[in-house]
Amino acid sequence: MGHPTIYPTGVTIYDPEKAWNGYTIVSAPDLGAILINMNGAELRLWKDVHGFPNKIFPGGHIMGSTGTRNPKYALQDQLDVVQLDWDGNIVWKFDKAEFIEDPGSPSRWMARQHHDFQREGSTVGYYAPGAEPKINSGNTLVLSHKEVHCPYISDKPLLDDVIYEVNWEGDIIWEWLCSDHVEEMGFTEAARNAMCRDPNYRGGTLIENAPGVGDWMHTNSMSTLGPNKWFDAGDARFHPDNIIIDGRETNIICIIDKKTGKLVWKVGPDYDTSPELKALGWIIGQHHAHMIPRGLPGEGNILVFDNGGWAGYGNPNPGAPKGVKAAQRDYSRVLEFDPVTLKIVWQYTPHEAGFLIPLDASRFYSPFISSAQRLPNGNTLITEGSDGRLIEVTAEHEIVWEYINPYRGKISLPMHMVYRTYRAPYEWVPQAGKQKEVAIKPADTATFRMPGAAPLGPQSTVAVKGTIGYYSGAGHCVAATE
Amino acid sequence: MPITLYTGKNCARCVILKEYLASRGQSFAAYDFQDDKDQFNPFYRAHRAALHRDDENRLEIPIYDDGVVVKQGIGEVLAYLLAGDALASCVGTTGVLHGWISNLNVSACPAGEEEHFLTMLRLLTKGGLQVILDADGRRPELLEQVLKEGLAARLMLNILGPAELYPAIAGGPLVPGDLKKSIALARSAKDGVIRILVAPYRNSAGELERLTPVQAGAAAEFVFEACADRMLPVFIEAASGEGLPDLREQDLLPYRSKVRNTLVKAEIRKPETH
Amino acid sequence: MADLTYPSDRRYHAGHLWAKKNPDGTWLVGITDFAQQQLGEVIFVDLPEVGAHFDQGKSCADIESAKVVSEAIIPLSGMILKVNEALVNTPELLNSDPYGEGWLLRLAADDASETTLDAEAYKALLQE
Repeated sequence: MGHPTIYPTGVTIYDPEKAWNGYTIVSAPDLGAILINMNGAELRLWKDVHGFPNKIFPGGHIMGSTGTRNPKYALQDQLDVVQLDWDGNIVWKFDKAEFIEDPGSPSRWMARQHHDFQREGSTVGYYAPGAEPKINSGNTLVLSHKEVHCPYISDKPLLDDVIYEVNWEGDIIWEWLCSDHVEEMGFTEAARNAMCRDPNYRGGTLIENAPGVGDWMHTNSMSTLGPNKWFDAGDARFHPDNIIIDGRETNIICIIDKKTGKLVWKVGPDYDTSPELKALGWIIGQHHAHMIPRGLPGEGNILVFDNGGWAGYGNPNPGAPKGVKAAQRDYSRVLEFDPVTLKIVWQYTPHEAGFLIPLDASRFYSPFISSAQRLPNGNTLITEGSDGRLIEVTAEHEIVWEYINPYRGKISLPMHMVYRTYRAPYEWVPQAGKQKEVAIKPADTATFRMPGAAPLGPQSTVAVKGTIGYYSGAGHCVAATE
Repeated sequence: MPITLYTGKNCARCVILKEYLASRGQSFAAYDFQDDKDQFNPFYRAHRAALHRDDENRLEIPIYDDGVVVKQGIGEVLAYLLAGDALASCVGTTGVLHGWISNLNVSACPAGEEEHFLTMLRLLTKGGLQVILDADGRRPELLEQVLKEGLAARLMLNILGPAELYPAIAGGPLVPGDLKKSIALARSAKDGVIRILVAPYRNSAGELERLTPVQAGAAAEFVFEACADRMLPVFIEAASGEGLPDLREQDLLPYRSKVRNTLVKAEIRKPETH
Repeated sequence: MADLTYPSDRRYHAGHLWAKKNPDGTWLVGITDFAQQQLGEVIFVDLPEVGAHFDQGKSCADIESAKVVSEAIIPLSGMILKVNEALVNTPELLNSDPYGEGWLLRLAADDASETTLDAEAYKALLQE
């Protein structure tokens, strides 16, 4: 949608009175993990530390990895998960998931981690009152990859998602394999047929000569529920130890019973099967589905970045001739919904952003990556990942902080993409010292000019007899909805 | 003493037994355990306590009764007919899985009984059964003979513990040289599986125990010293033990961590599916 | 299935046993037609001790056929007053007359108001 070629980066809007002020951790392409303040000052770069995602922990520690496996041999595998202190020392490390021998690389243990991890003490890895991630002890849940064969999904080799619970010593003490539960997910015959033929087969597409594997689920988020009002009221599906994941390729968000491994709650893969799901609408290619932790506004509700884009298996249709990536939408939605009634409690969609749906809807759109974090004052930090645009919006949908990632990939994908970001309270990074908070009023884009560009306004005007002026809300080729 | 057999329809292992007895010139009466209820039901009520059923409560057949002893299952019966009680230690409950026979342990074969053990395997194989052979590292020369004759369809090489625990768990010592040979044989055998078996055993005080994760790690070191290959494809599996709670898959994760310190490719083996 | 019967003069339990009240207030307990058909020819019944007490839903006896061993699930909590001795040597009575000569045991129920199924509800359960 007509993105400008030239635009400012860094912080573009900031209202210190309305924002929840703190630090933000950003993974910059080809650079490393950057900690910025509210005015966008890059206080610390942990150079070449990958982040899938990076997280900031109390004590000025960050989480990330020392690198990514050669993509010729695997998709998105992180070598390890590391906890680094302010000075970059490794405080904790996990890599003993699989011993890997890739041609041309030294054989080594690899975590094969991707998309998420959680440290005990916190459910989602971001700030919530009284629930800090432990930095000197505790178990860590790690989302990783594993090759499997599962004929129910497809006869093709599959790249499956596995969750490890790892103790402080780095030993795996609990393990959950996604494909073991595919039969609980409720795929239709149409979906199974499409998935069997093409379980999101990634061979030779992105990377020449890459091994062919079906990344059938593509789990991209994994967190625990933590204490919540549903469980307190006797609903065992929401046991605090239970784990919520979402699958980008299947449009499923589901909760795993930690004890039995069974799926005890889910939405998707179909959103047409009940009036409640129809009202919720199709969640497509979603990211970062999690339960808002206790102590934050909206606690107990599910917060998700519903990307839209293209995802899911189903009937062939004009947009998906083989039934793969069968559901499509060219804008994103951030949804907060009640997991029991499935009613939407709050949302940020193009409508709330002030963009007509569908005419202008793709101005709020990230078809992949992205996230949403609930902040203690009720604001929501949204990472519109593909363009690297971070916004903090109030409950009333006002943008009170905006940051455009200035870094563009040269080695990695040529985009300004940011996978996910987190806001942390100042107290979590005592080393950074006191920060200034300088308000940045939104520039008037009508008068905002590059040097040499003519100023706004006609240099001369002529009135024409017989013209009748304009109607408001005049119709156009395409009807606006909502 | 007259011999009575209780057999079933379409039962290859029953045919093996009948043919073997006939080849020895021994006469017997055979009754169908489901159809000939006037014979089988009173026998069952009289000997019920001595008979076993499998995990799915199926009664293993054939059953052999010579008036002195009752033996059940083709492995147990053949071993008895060939060698009296001498082969008892290497034949367990052989199972009723169609076409397969298991719980035959080559490594427990006593000295002097090798020919009887081989004869038993020959009879089973000739009779159309696929033998799942167990070994624990001891008796590699006998294992080699078995493999050479094609008498094992699958080989399970069970590592029962570190060297110092072998006498208690396996009933005899295992020297590194034998383990090395056994590993080489298992790797060359089609469908050979090497697994660290977490099995119950009685310790010196007579108490029932099972291998700990640390001991499994020591067993892995024992294996590594024998084969010098840290990439050895090795599994970890729990054997159920009477009187001990079953280990679930999650319970085996600490074992895997310890084993992987030495043998990096170790994986947990899921319960057998053929 | 069509030939199996479930008399309406007694109560049923999802564990496939029935209980019928005697004039003296005790209960006669046995297995259903469905259960006997599933078991096949019964060759042995391991009966409980007289005087033993079982809670509803617990196993009170083992019923063995050549095919399977099955637990008899007691339909009402109570104490065993008597067991059917005829089953020791003629366990096939369970197949030939499950509602009559093939009864399992006589029971003094703790609380006859415990939840059970009537014949229709039991039949409906079997349809599921």
